This record gives sequence, C-alpha cells and structure tokens, in this order.
Amino acid sequence: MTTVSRSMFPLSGGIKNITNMKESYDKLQTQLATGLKASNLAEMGTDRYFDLALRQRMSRIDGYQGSVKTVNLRLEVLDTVMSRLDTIESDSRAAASAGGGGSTGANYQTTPTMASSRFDEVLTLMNTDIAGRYMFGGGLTEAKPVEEPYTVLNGIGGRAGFKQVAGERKLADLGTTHMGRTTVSTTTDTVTLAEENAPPFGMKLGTLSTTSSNISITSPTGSPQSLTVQFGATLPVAGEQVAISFSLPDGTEEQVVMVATAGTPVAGEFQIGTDANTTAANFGTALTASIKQLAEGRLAAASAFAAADDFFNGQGETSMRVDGPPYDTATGQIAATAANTVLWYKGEDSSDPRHTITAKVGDGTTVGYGVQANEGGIVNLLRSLAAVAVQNFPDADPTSADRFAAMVSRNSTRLADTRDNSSGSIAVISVELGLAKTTAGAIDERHTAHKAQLGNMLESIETAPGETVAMELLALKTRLEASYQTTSIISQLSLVNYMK
Amino acid sequence: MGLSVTLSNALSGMKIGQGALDTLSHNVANAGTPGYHRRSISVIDTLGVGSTYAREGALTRTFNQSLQSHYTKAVSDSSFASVRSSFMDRVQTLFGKPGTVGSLDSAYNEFQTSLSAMATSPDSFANRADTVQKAQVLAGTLNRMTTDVQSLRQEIESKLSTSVDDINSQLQSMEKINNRLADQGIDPGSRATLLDQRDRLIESLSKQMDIRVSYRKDDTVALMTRAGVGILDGRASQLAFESAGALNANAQFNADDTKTGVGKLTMMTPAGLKIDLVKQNVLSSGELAGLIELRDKTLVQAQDQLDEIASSLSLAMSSNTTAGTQVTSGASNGYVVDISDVRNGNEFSFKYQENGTNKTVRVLRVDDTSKLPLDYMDANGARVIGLDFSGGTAAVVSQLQGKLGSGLSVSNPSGNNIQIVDDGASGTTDMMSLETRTTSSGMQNGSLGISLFVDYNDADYTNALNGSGQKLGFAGRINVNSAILNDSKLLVQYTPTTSLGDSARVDNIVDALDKMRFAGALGKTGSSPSSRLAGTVSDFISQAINYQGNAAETAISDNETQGLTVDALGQRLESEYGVDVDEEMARLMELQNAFAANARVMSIAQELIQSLLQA
Repeated sequence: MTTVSRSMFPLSGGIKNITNMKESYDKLQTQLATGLKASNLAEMGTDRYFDLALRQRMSRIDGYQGSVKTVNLRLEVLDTVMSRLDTIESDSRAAASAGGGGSTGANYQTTPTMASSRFDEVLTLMNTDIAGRYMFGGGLTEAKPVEEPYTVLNGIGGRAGFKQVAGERKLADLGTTHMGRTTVSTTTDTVTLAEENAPPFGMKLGTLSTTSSNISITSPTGSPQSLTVQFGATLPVAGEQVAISFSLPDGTEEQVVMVATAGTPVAGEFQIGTDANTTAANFGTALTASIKQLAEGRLAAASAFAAADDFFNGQGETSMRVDGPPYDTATGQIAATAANTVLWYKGEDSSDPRHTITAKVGDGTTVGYGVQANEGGIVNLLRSLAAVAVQNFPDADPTSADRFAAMVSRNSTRLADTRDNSSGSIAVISVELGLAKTTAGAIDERHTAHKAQLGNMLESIETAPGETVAMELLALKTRLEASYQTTSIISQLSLVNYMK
Repeated sequence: MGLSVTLSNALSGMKIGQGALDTLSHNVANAGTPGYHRRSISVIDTLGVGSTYAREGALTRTFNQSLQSHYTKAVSDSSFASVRSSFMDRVQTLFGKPGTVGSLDSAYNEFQTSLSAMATSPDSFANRADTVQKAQVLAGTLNRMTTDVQSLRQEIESKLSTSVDDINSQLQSMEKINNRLADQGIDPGSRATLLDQRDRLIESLSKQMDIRVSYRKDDTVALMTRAGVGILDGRASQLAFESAGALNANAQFNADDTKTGVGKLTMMTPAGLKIDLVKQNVLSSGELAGLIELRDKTLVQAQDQLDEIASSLSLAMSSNTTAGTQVTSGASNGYVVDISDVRNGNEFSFKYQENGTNKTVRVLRVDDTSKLPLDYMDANGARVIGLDFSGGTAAVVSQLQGKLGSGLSVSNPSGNNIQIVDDGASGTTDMMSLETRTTSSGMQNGSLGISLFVDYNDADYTNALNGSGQKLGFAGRINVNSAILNDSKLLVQYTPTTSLGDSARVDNIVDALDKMRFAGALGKTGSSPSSRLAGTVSDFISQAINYQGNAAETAISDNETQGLTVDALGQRLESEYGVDVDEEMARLMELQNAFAANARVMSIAQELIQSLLQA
C-alpha cells in the first residue's frame, strides 16, 4: 500500500563518498578520452560565453578565408588573361611598320591574317570563365560577355558584323566619287573645294595656305565648309605651292600639297596655264586627282578605324553605324540595334568596372575585382585589331601601298605604350587587380594569424590537459583504493564477528 | 522476605530479559529497513507485596520532532531542485554544446559561412543550393528545439497527472493511519510500526509538495502547505489534474480559466472548497511546484528565447532600412521619411539628443488596438511606442506628438511622409537620425530584403502583435520560403532582370546579420530582465545558449547542494533512529549475562529450597 522510500536511511556516508568518487573517476576518464574539459553546456561554466564568441569569430574568419580563396583563384585567372592581353598588344604594335609592305608584298597578306587571329584570341579571352562564371562582363557573370569572334566580324542571321559596318562606313566616307565627300569645281579663275553636307563622314577641310603671292585664297568658311583658290592675272611661278589640310574621320590630319609646275605635271603638281582660267582648270583637275588618291588610300584606312571606334563601343557609349542605304550619300549615323547589328559586348556597362564585383574579405575590407571587356585598353586593342583584320591589300590594287602605310602607322600610334596611363588601359587594369590581390593576401595573413590565436584560446578553454587529468586520476585512484580498503576493514569490524 | 521473593525476583528479571530480547531481535532484524525507528524497553523497579521486582515499562520509539520537521522541509526543497535539475539538464542538451553537430550555434555559423561564400559567387548554383540547405538546417534546428521544449512541457503534464494520483493514494493511507493511531487501545508494537509508516508517508508526500506537519498528542498528524492551506486534518483533501491535451508554444498558463492553455491542478478540501493550486500560488516547493515552474515559466522562457532568435533571424533577412532625408524648418533640424511601406509590426525609429543624453525611440505599427497603449523600454534601452496606423499619417503624427511631448515636433508635410524636427535655437533637443525598418513584400520588387525565413504557408513574418503575436511559437513554424526552395536565384535577383553576378542582395543580408540590432520584447510570462536578449542575431543565439547553460548549471549545482543537505540530515536521522548493531550486540551479551545470572539465582534458590525440604 505504500511506497517505501530509500532515502530516509541512506547508504552510510562511507559508501556514498565512494559512489561520488567513482563518478568523478568516470568523469576524469571521459576527459582523458575526449581531451575536453566539459561534456555539456552546463559543465562549461563561465567559459561558455567566451567559447561561443570564439567559435563565432572563427566561423566568420573561415567564411572570409573561403572568400579570399575564391577571389585569389579568380584574380590569378584574370592576371593570366591580362598579361596575355599585354603580350598581344605589344606583338600587334610591333607586327608591322610603316613602309613595311615588303618587297614581295608578303606583309600585305600576313598582317590582316595575324590581326584577325589576334582578334580571335582577345575575344576568346574575354569569354574566359571559371566554372561557368564569366570574368569580363562586370557584374553580369552568367553569360558570355562578348560575341564569338567570327560573328563579330562577319555578322550572323541578318545582323551585320564589323566587316559590313566598316564597308558601309567606307562607302559613306569615300562618297560616290571617291572624293571623301568633297567636290571640286572650277569657275573661270576660281577653284572651289566644298564639303558635302554629311557631317560625320569624309574629309573635313582644315587649313589652307599658299606660298604664292599671286594666288588668293579664301580659308574654309561656312557650313558645310568650302574654300576657294583664285588665280590672278599674274600667274604663280613654278615651285610655288598651295597646301590644304584635311581632318579625317578617325581624328588624324592629312595634307594635300599642290605644287605649280611649268612642265608636265606628275601627281601632286599642276601645270601653270596660259592665263588664270586655264591655270585654275589645271589646278582643279590636279586637286581632284590628289584628293581622290588621299581618299582611296589614307581616308580608307582612317574610315576603317573610325568604323571600329563606332562599332566597338566603349564604356557608356552606343554602337553606331551609317544611316543608310544608300550609304555613299549618307548624311548621318544611327545607333546600331540588336536586331540589325551584332552588338559585340553584352556584359555590364559600369563607369567603375572594378566595383561591379566585390568580395567582403574582412569585417571592414572589401576588394573589388570586376573587369569589363569594354574598358578603354581592351576596346582599343580590339578596335585596332579589327580595323586591320578586315583589310585586304591586293597587289593589283594601286591603293594598297598607301592604305597599308596608313593602317600601320595608325595601328602603332593607337597601341603605343604612352596610352598605358589612361584609365582602363590594360596596364592600369593589371595594376588595380594586383592591388586587390595584395589587399586580399594581406587580409588573409591577418586572418590566419588571428584564427591561430583564437584557436589557441579556444583550446585553452576547452581542452583538459592530459597530464593534469592523468595526475588527478592517479590521486583519485589512490584515494578510492584506500577508501575501498578502509570500508572493507570497517565493515568487518562488527561485534557480531567476535561473538562466540 | 523469603526465598519465594528471590525466586519471583529472578523470574521477573528473566521475563524482562525475554521482553528486551524480543525488542532487540526486532531492532536487529530491521537494522536495514528504511524508515525503521529504533525501539527500546524501559525497566521499572516495582515495589511488590513485601518485595521489589523489575517489570517491563513502555515500549519507546525514538523520535525527534524538530529534526523531523527540518528533514521534511529539506526533502521538499531537494525534490524541487532535483526535478528542475533533471529537466534543465535536458534543456541544455537540447541547445547543444557549442560547436557540436546539431547545436544551434553551429547551425547558425554554418549558415553565415555559406552566405559569405554565396556573396563571393552569387552566380554559382552550388553555393546558392548550399545556402538554402544551411537555411533549412537552421530553421529545422529551431523547429526541432521548439518541439523538444514543448514535448518536455507535455511530459511534465503527464508527470503531474501521475504525481496527483500518487499523492491522493498517499493521503488516503495517511487518513487511515491517522484513524488507527487515534485508537488508544492498540498494542505498543503495532503502534510503533504504524508510526514508522506515518513518517514514511510524510516523507514521501513532502517530496511531492511542500507540507507542514503538526504532530498531535495522540500521534496523529495534520498536514498543510507552507502557505497554510490544509491538506489533511482528520479527512484528506483530494487533488485533481485536468490535462489540457497536447501542448504547444501558444498554450500558456493564464489566470483566466477561459484563456489558460495548460492543465489545471486543483485541490478539493474535505469541506468541499475547491482551490486552484497554481492560480492561488499555493505550492512553493516539492516536485509539483518544480514541475509547474518548469511548465509555466522556465520552459516558456526557453521558448520565448527561441522565438526571439527565429524572429530576429527572419527580420534580418527581410528588413529594408530606409534612412530619412535631412530637412530644416526655420532654426530646427530634423528628418523626413516616407512611412507608407511600414507594415503591421514594422517600425520607424529615430535617435535624438535631449540635454546631451542620447535617446532612441522605436515606433511600432500596431493594428490590433487591444494591445494599445504600448510604451516600454526595450532591452537595448530604446523606448518603444506602439501606435495605431489606421487613421493615416496625420493621425500617427498627432498620436506620436502626444507621446513625445514638446521637445520634438512631429508633422506630416506631404503624402505619407513623417517629419520630426528638434527644438532649434533653444538647443535642448537635437535630432540625429530617422529611419524606417520595413519588411519586403514580394521577392523581386527591387528591395534588397528577402523573406527567406517565413511563417506557415510562406506568409511574410512582420512580427505583428495581433492576437497572441506572430512571434509566439514562431521558432516552431519558421521555415524557408518555398519560392526560394524552388528557385534559389531569388536569393540574388532582387528584380527579375538582376544579373546573377550581382551580390547586392546577399551583401545586404550578410550586413544585416552583422549589424542589425534587435531587442527582446517584454516576455509574456515571467521573463526576468536577464533572460531578455539584445543585439545582433548571433548575439541573441550566444546569449540564449549562455542563459540556458547557466540556468542548467545553477539548477544542477542547486540540486547537489540540496542533496547534500538531505544527506546530512539523513545521517543525523540514522544516528538518532537507526539501529546500531554493535550496540544491540553488546546489549545482547548483557541480557545473556543477566538471563544466566537470573537463572543461576533461580537454580541456587531452588537448591536452597531443596536443602530446606530435605533437611
């Protein structure tokens, strides 16, 4: 009917103490086996909060170190790509020199081919990915940032490639008469050189000068500009000249110099006629021929670069093409659309590419290591390569030599080392990425050191030193044995045992 | 005087010896019986007719009332500590040792590390999947802990129920024993046995509840609680426990019987008076009191802390903080912010200086007007004001102005904008900041916050105070938004066209976990200020684990201390009441000698009589 409690008269004190000692013994054994002071939350005592804080901090550092590791891998890949780009740039610069058409014209053929293959390589590099993450599209990492090289040059599915766009541009720049969108007209004693009303295209009149006091000139005026050269009753003397400078679409300047001659004129000369009117007529004819030569040679080269500048749009720019057809009488440009043109760059377009990708590598430290294929240096390289790549210089073509020289000189100017200082150049990008890597590296070292310290602290909190535990075990064992012995002896000491 | 006297004296001596041997053998036989009190027989030297002889006196049972009372009290306290310690030991296991698999802090740390990896590679499917999985583990850990805490409470309910049955049967026995003890005709041996039984029952009862015992002259007892409520006096009271069925976080004790969600413990006195032992706070010690405290306070508090953690976690993910823009109005400076996105449970807050002291005010939107007025200081020391937003911004302005007094002026310059400016030239107050903290709605509305952790049915968690409040039991309901389970890209794309390489949303989450500070609200039941959490999400977790670990440690060591007290008293009891076999043996020899001597006396007397008769 009742529950009999065992606690009213407990085991004798001696036995109870032995049980307690046995429990401590077990606990020490666990400590020895696990190497840990506490086996549960309560036993951790005042170290608990400290322990939690240390673990949390270490886990944080683990997170940062994971990020640093990922960032470092990416930076290494970027570094490889950037140094390759640098090599390509210097190779391209050295590839051809002005007048280097070669006696056999071999360079005429190889230069565009080489440029084309370098162009391929640069674009392929821009599509570098690490496990599906594309590195050169700024923050847009899930898709290829640039189109395939072949597509960019040749177009695809009704969308124009660079070749077509450059061709249209060439038509627009040269005009129907290949006069670079200028016209020469002679009226009695006056030759008038006028620009067509096509602002972006062709050659624009620059300065007009003459060494002859017998020729009266009117510098370019009006819009579109025109200039006049008027011969007077006193004719110019042989050797006297008229110089007209032109600015070409890619921003370069060219000059046409017409020298008066009494004999049969060669290119760049005009024959002094019998009077002002005939001289003017001769001047007009010679000027027309010179301008045509300039247009078909250097203007064509400049046009290719201008087309490249417009097609390969840089940061914050829109890809432009000639508003046509017709192209040879076109008067303006329109923005290229994805429907009609291959837009070469599809990545993010930020004015601060480095900060398109950031990684938090420390509590207050963030490294930015985004790169965009449309940054100045890379675009510049692509433009030069593309402009050269789409050229061909047939031996039979009388303009080849002129064009080749013009292409080559522009190519080396554009890829000159002096441009390394401008923002977004390949050198600047490399330096900035290097800085990010240094920052991440320094932070990582700090993390490693900090984590080691934290680890030591945690260990000092959590670990039960083997020696101490062993000593305690030994001492406890001695006490326990003594207690067993004593208890056993005492239990024998009962009067019952001595009664007869 | 004659030989016959000698004979009768010897005979009485032998008789006493026999009686004493009886008692002695009884003592020795019961040397190991729990609760047995040593007995002894007194010998009385009696003057007979022309002779003196010894006769057996009363049978005495050793008993020390003050020691007994002391022991009874210690047993109650020890059981109280013991039941608390055994349950707290389980609570601490539930929270887990820091750094071990399945512990809350490990789950959180892993989640945070995965977020950090995802921030570096938001476009990596593997990283996103890892984050989602870690989020599920974290939510699952909180769910599991909630279930565990609630099943502990459930277990307590069934334990209460069995305890009540035990107590009732013991009280019945007690009543019977009392009745028999009241009968004076009972033989002394049986009486001593009944008394032993009585004391065992008292001890057993004192384990369950705190009782005060009044020992009556006739050896019967009356029992009452320490608070003085009679349990047994003549007739026994009857305890009853009505279980409330399955318990969850929302089932809490409430003094109002219609609102209480837990089992009811009542006592019916013999007079027919029904007392609610919990509501009237009758129990202060013993196992019952320990169980009730665990069920209604300690475990509820543990649940509160889990809910706070779940709540802060969810809010850190989903909150958008919008800072106000600076405005000047005459000489006064201040800020203006749009409050149209403030949802039920969301807030706008501002900091200002008054007489050089920094002050923070958080204004909560409270749609359930029964919760108003609401005005308290949170664990971070910020003043929390609950306002009804249903009357539009103008109404909010006037309510807030009313609460704030004259130091700051609140206005509604346009639309849903709220403007707070300081007192300008007099310089008593200075506005420092004004911002809203709102919960994102939708996944891709362009805001960086994301409802990663949601309530049932993917409902956004806004910490609304409606009803019992969304926070209550949220740790049991928290789960990962199924939209994100289906498409982890939502973790990155805050608009449908956001690039997968854009880490803005993830960075925002990482930042919020690092920096967003929360403050535990006033607990529902008996949350002591020390159990209120404050700080970032990880602070919350550390504080909760530390608090529970500390509580367990205290409970365990308290139990050890109480156990030692009971042990010490037990030793005293043993030395007072217990049978010392050596002593009994010595007495046995004495009695043997006395018996032999008496027998010798008798045989000599007989020889003498024979000599006389033969002479």
